[in-house]
Amino acid sequence: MELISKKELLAQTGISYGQLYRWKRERLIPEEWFIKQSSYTGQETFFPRQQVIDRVQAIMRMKDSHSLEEVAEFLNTQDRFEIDVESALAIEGVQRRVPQLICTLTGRDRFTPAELALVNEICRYADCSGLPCDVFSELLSEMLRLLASNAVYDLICTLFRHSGGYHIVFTKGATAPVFDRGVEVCLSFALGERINFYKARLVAIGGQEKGDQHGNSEN
Amino acid sequence: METLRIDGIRTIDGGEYDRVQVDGIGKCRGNIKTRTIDIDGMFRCEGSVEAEQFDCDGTVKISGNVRAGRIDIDGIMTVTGGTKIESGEIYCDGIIRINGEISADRIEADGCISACEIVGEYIRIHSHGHWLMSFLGFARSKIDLIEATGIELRGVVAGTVNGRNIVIGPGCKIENLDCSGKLRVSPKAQVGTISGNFTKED
Repeated sequence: MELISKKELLAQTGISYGQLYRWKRERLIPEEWFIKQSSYTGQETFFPRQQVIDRVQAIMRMKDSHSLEEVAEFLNTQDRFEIDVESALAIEGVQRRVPQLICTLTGRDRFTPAELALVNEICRYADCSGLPCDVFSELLSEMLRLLASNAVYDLICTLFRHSGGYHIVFTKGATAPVFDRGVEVCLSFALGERINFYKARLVAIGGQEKGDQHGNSEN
Repeated sequence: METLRIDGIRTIDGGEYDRVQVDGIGKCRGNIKTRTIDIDGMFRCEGSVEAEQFDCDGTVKISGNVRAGRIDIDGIMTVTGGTKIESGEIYCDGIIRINGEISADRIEADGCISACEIVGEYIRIHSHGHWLMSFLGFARSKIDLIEATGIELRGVVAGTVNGRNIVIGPGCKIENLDCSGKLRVSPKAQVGTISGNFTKED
């Protein structure tokens, strides 16, 4: 698991100590993400890098238009609200082919943020690797069926290659699985944080009007 | 919800109240959740305390966590175990002792604080070395880690101080300090290593 120090996190995201600790008190950033490790000055605090950056970005997008209690509820509930193709295409970072691909794979015209997060991350990987997305169609179809029956999204999603074929595994917790040399790990991400990332962007699109009415920039 | 008033010596199980008033000697075996809690006598809670307003002019000992909107301590608050105090604001003219973390947006102490960590937005601790504090063995505040956006310290012994704008006043002894904004250090303070991208002020 790649870690980021507290100091680096503040520098990279531009948030203050006050904001970080306020968000910890309000349970917007889980306490278990504050990982203490020994250093020459005593103890230093680190965080799971991608998860905390995604979380901070999601909070930053929402805090000006929502109270901290609303943001906490939004981030910590595993809701299943559904998105249509048009809304998904308006979200920054979603590939153009992804919403329609999900509809084709699921046979539905609306889908959940979890389904969007999974398919978009795999398609982004396919793009970076120069692979056609069709390579993953069957695999994605199967994983989407599994996701539909799973109520918990606090999972690490890992795409790996073994014996010439691609596979996906979902594991619990904050640490990616460790494989032997015969396995090539292609992509690993925290599904829950990716879901919050896309949810926050979706709210930001729909939340522009609310932001004009009450500003919570001190949060 | 009811008001709980303890005038004599009484033990309760815990529960949810509108107001808790302790003028005598009280003991609570469980958790307490209340709108306000006012301690003028002695109170011991074996669970956690959650309140909008927490006032202590007497002595309070809590085994669990403390979570409040505002905490005012003119007496002595002791939180035992590796637990925490979380509040919007904390004002301390008395003594706070915790073997854990104090986290608040605003902490202003003219008394004495002993803690592992004090973190938040703005922290001002001016421990004056009052004769009573010296008698009780609490001349200066002792904290392992202080981290906040704004920090002002006097009479504080700390392992590490990290912040954006920091003022280290007389009587302070700091091992490590990291500042990312403005830094002022009194010539009557001792600071070990200083790091960070800061502007020194006189």
